[in-house]
Amino acid sequence: MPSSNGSKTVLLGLGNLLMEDEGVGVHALRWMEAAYTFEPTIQLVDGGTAGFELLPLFEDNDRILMIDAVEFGKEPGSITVLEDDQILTELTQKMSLHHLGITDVLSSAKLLEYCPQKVVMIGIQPFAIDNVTMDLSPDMQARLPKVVATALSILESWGIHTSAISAS
Amino acid sequence: MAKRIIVDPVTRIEGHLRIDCDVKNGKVEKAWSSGQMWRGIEPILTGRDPRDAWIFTQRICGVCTTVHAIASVRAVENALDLEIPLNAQLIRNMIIAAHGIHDHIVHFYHLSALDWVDVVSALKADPKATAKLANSLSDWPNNNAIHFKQVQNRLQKFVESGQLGIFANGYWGHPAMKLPPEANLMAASHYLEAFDYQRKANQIVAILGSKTPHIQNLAVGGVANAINLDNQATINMEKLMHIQTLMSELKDFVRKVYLVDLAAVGALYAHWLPYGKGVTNYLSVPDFPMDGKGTQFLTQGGYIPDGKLDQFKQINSFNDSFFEDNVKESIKHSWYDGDWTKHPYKEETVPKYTDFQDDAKYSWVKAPTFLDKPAQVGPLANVLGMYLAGHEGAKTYTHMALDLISSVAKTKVGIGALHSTLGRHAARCVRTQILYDVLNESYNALVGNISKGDFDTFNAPVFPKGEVSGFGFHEAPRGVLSHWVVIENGKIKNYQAVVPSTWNAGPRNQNDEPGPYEASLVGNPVADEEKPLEILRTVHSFDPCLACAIHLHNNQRKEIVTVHAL
Repeated sequence: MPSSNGSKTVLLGLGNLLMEDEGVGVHALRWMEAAYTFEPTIQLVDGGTAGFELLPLFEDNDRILMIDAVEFGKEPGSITVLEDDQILTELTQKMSLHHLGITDVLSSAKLLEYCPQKVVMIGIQPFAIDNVTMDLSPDMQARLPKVVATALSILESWGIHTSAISAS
Repeated sequence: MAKRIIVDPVTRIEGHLRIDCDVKNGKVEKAWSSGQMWRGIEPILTGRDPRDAWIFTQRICGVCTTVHAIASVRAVENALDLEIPLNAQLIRNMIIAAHGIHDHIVHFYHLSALDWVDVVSALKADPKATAKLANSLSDWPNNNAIHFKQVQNRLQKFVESGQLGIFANGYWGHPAMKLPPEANLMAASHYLEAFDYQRKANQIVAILGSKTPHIQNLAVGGVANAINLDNQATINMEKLMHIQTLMSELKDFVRKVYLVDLAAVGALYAHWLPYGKGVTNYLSVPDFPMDGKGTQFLTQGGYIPDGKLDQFKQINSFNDSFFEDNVKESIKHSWYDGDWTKHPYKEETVPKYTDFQDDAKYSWVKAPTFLDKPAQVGPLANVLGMYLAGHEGAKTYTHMALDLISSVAKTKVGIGALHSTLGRHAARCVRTQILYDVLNESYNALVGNISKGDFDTFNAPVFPKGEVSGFGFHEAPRGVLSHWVVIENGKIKNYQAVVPSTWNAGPRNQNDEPGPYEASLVGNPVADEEKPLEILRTVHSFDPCLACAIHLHNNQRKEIVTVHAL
């Protein structure tokens, strides 16, 4: 198993907390924050819907794991793991000029020659984003343990150990 | 024959904006601005503790988290008539000034410069000639041939990699792109450097706000920062020194790079100065209070009707009734139930979607009005307001920018040129210069006050029985932001946010008068209907950002421009 030996990792939850399943990345992050302890080489960041404010994370870290809602046109609740260049290829919309989202942050990081060894995104197809609410839809809430397990297993494969905080 | 051009979405952030233009003989005849997502965030606040509202409101928008937090605590403090300690006011000032500098740098370089700067053309530039051009304008240390050559190599590598990423959708080689290769290389080089400086500005926000993107240090009644010069966990000497270092680096960049690039782009595109005027009722508000109550301000604001600078009426305090009484919103052309024009305290938010109807309802954005007219908000309104109120910095930097543009363009460019697409960029740059001064002045005042032994940062709020209401405004990077709250027995009864992009992106109002985006597009040239770069230039000059921040990723590739015959 690879060891984390001092390399820096960030776990980044993304999304809008006010828009139901749109906020699943932040919900997952908060769950993990509350239920697990992490070694000090990993930083947990609630990125919300920020853009370039997240760019320094790509300069300062060796590995980046993002969790976000993604419109893949797939079955709601399905989890897709994208790695490195796949993220840009899959998510780049032929959209407007130079307005930013996480894909622009990624490509700006490239332009600036920030070279994290590994960038992974866990994308979750939402069930519902139409309601203005701070709660996930019940279906997504039920899916959350699977999202968290996916994130933990990726961290584990990077040699980052976590331990569940016992209820007692 | 007239054609309809639809650009949808114009921005990929903050809820989607769609722009429709009818174009005839290469010019825009009529335009519509439509918000394509419902921003009914306010109902989520009903019934909550007003002390918590700012934590929720800073999630309204992904770009302007800080500004919604500030406007929210100000609204609740206004309802309670609660004065906050001077230190708290100064710490808030520094956070919002630094945030504003960050935001303006990002807007100019990363969100809109590529409407004017052709990155691919920069590959053809001669680095030595670029250095000569850059040195004639500024003594910035990186303006040398070796640095420009390195930048060119990096761009070349990036372009050759085939993964253009952030540049992928640029209109390279478009006939409206006019800069010579050397000017393009100079601007592209500063585009890269600007990444570092927006970060430095944001570090100041992070030091004082404990965290970004979502600051943690606000409280109704002040800030949660403790001040103890010898304690690691509080605002201390080391943190203040760090802020001072960041400030001096920022100063050089905004004075020697941003101001100069703005002038170069303005001068080399002087033929664009006549375009994009639009609505010339300008609204701005005073900000950066230097007392606990909000009566003395470092920047001023007010209302200018119909571009008549001699009829400027100043807004003077956080309690100003001229502002409070004259803001309304109309839903005649918006997807809400009914046809009313109401004051924010009295509004309700009941969605009713129809499809896009040119002459009826076509947007999720409401149409705000001031004195029953549409108003343009943003740095241009703010700089004009400060200028007319006699703000020294506003006068100095405005003339500095205009003189530099005039000297490069070799023609006299006066203050009247500011009523334009490029004028909005110029004003944003002038405002950035002022924000640096504000940051510096607030810093010095904070250090001075602490050295007098004043460490207070918080006055506890007390909520009365019965109903109270209040409003809080903030001159945010995109213009006037106001939050309106009605509190009953200590709980929120009604909450409305009237946001800057609503003022500018609003649809036609109760009298069918177009909003600022819509009016500013009329008369714009369009050289190539399939690539309406000129439309984007004008819309981007407002720094569009629709305030609901849905940002769900979409892997569907989608054309953004559609053209059809009418």
